[in-house]
Amino acid sequence: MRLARTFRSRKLDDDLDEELRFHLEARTAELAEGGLAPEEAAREARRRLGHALSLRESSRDVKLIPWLDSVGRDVRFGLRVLRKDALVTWAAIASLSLAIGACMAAFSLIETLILRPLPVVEPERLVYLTFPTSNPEDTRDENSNFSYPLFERLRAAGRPYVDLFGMSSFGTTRPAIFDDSGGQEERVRAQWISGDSFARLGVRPALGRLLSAADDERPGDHPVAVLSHAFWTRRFSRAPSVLGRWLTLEEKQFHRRCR
Amino acid sequence: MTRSDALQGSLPLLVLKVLARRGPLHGYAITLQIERVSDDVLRVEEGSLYPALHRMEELGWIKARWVTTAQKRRARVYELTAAGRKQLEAEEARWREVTSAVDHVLKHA
Repeated sequence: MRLARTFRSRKLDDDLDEELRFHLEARTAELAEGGLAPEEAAREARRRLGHALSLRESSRDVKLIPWLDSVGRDVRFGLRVLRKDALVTWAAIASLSLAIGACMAAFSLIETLILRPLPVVEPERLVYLTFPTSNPEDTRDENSNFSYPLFERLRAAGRPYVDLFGMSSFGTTRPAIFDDSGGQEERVRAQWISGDSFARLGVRPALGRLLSAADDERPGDHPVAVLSHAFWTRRFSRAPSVLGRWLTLEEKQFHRRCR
Repeated sequence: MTRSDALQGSLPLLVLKVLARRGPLHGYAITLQIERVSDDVLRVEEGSLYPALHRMEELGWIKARWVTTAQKRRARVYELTAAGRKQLEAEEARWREVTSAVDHVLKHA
């Protein structure tokens, strides 16, 4: 109740004023009847009642929540002041917006790239393997390029405690020809990965199947490709017909499976 | 003109009693009643009546509503509640206790 009245304080003020006014008029009438001149009566009545405004304030404090009311008044006053000097206000709003927007953008970027865990199964158990470089020409102190035979030996050595899978780095876009484009070359980003990578990461296909360890068994035989979801959406509008079709990537032919 | 010092703490008591005896009244009528019955000795500092009335209303001892008088004016009329009645009994008892104690001291000090 008090809360409601705090937001409708004007009505409260009117009611209080009306109550005091009634008293004043009744007292004035009584005094006038008693023989006082009208102005005298009014003055005497007012004097007896006391200071109407402070009475109204006391009653007000009882009937609503004073601190909330006071906060409300301060806010309204502040808004009036801001509106008066509009130029300064808008300059402040603009600079605050820019600053806040920049911070939010920076945070979103950091959150997505760094803070959010990778969308794979058990990301905390994922380890990126590198070895220290001895080549003075290398700009970094770690090298993560392993040859395939080395990778195979490391993988065999790690079993059964550690699963090893390998991915080539993205690099630049490469030319590719899809069999529905009539020989026209497009540029794609491609990665080579070891067969059980998807299984290790816990990723699941949207359509078709992903690569599996079985695809690794006979090198060069039965090459398959998996399309990323974004690429599938963009290039093929998620058409299911993309399964089993061919693409030519850098002169090597691949059989397409979707993701 | 105001002998209100005697009245200060006991204003709620008097208001509750007046309302109990006379039924629902508006603020001015309560003022007049107290003046009349006390032979003008206790002239209410009229100002302090209204905050007191509003405080008692918030406490739930009295409840108020707007009525239209015979003269087509709007007046706020106060009425005793059940809680108010209980409060009146308690305050009256306390008043009698205090005054008889003071009496006693005056007599036998």
